[in-house]
Amino acid sequence: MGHSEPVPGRAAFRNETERVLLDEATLLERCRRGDDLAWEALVRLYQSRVYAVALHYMRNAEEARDVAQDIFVRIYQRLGTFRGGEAFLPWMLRLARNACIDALRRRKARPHAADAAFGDAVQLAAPGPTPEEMSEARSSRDLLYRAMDRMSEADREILMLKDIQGLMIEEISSLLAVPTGTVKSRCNRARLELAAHVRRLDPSYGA
Amino acid sequence: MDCRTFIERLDEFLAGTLWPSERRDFEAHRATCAGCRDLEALFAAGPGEGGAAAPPGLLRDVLERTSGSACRGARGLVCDHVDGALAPVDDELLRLHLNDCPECAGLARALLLMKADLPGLAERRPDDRFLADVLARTAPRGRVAPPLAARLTEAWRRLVQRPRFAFEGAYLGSIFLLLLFGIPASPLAGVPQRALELARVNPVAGLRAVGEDVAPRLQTAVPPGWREKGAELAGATRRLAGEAVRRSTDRLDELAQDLGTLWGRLASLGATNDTNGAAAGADRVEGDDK
Repeated sequence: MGHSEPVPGRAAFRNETERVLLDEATLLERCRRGDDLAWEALVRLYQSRVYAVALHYMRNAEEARDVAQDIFVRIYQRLGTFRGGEAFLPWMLRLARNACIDALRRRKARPHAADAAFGDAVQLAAPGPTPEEMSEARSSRDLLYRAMDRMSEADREILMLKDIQGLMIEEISSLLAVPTGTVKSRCNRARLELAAHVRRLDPSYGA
Repeated sequence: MDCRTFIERLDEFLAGTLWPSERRDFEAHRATCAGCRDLEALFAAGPGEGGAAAPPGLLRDVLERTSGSACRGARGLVCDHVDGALAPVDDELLRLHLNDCPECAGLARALLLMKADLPGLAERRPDDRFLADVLARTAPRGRVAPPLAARLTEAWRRLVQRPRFAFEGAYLGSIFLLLLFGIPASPLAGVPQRALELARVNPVAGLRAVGEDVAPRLQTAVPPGWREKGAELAGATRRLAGEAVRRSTDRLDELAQDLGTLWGRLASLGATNDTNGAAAGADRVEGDDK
């Protein structure tokens, strides 16, 4: 396919022949007008991110796949309610979070299979350019996943929103309906906890 | 000047507040006493300069006996230090702590590395069929809104799957019953009390009590003329019934006689037919032989 690493909110896809840069706002506007190609491009752009969010909440590859589909269906149905002036990523993550929480409630209401650890889940995205770098990246990611397995749900969620998905403190505050000061302190606590877990699992990490 | 006076007034000497004559005495003693010279050099040096090397662990021991370990405070700042969001003074203080505390320094390095590694977890590639499945679910035929009944059924299914649904239902039901029966102004306010009273009464005993109470009162309340008329009416009714039985019995007897007569006639008629038929059959057989 040959496209550069997408930066959410900025460039979406580069048409290699015409050098046309599609930004997120254009994609969303076209999606709202019912452009099927734009919708496909939007799903292609965000599928890995949405799946990662679903996997963080569900911790089961199969369920995460189904929930990720549901998230996209919700996005599709509610694109009309998305205001052009706001950022798309927080809006999308809000929908994703709500869908995951609904799915978790449904899961609690019925007998479920045992949760899988992050490290047992599916393959990693965007491998590094060389086998050595790829192996190193995989091992550090696996280490982080294993360390996150040891964290509480709340700490893992705030870590995912702030340090993994890159939301701003104010956006997380709005999403979780808690004051910004609380978000910041929880976020710092979660990072310290993760760092401590990582160093316990691998004392050479950061040495 | 002796060494004791030199030590006692060393601060004034260093601050330059001695009289010129006293200062001359100080300098004369310093020139002849190596110990006082060293002491003055030690006091005159800035913080961290001069002096002997501190024994290992002195800082830790002092902190343990005074303010306690500084690691707690350092960990409150280390995330902002990694993010570059710390004020310069705090940043420098933390840096000094990290130089001496391997545990906090390791944590800071791990946080720095995590800052680079964590964004890499933002995306996980689903399988190749994922995009096609999503597009199939949002295809034009899927965009047609389902019928209202199907949507209501789906909404109800989702609602009842919520674990809190039963609790919410019970809660709302309780409030409804409370409003219906619990408020004094409600027309149904007395119903529970009356129901309880009714439940406590033995219905059989109640009926028996009513019977025992009402029967004598009826006997006295009915006028004597009505009782005579009643007796006449009862006699007439009995007579009518007897007449009806007698008449029906007579009628049945007549009917039985009529039926007997009829059966007799039918029987005699059948016998006659048999005799004639037998005679005719005998004649036909004899004719064929001929």
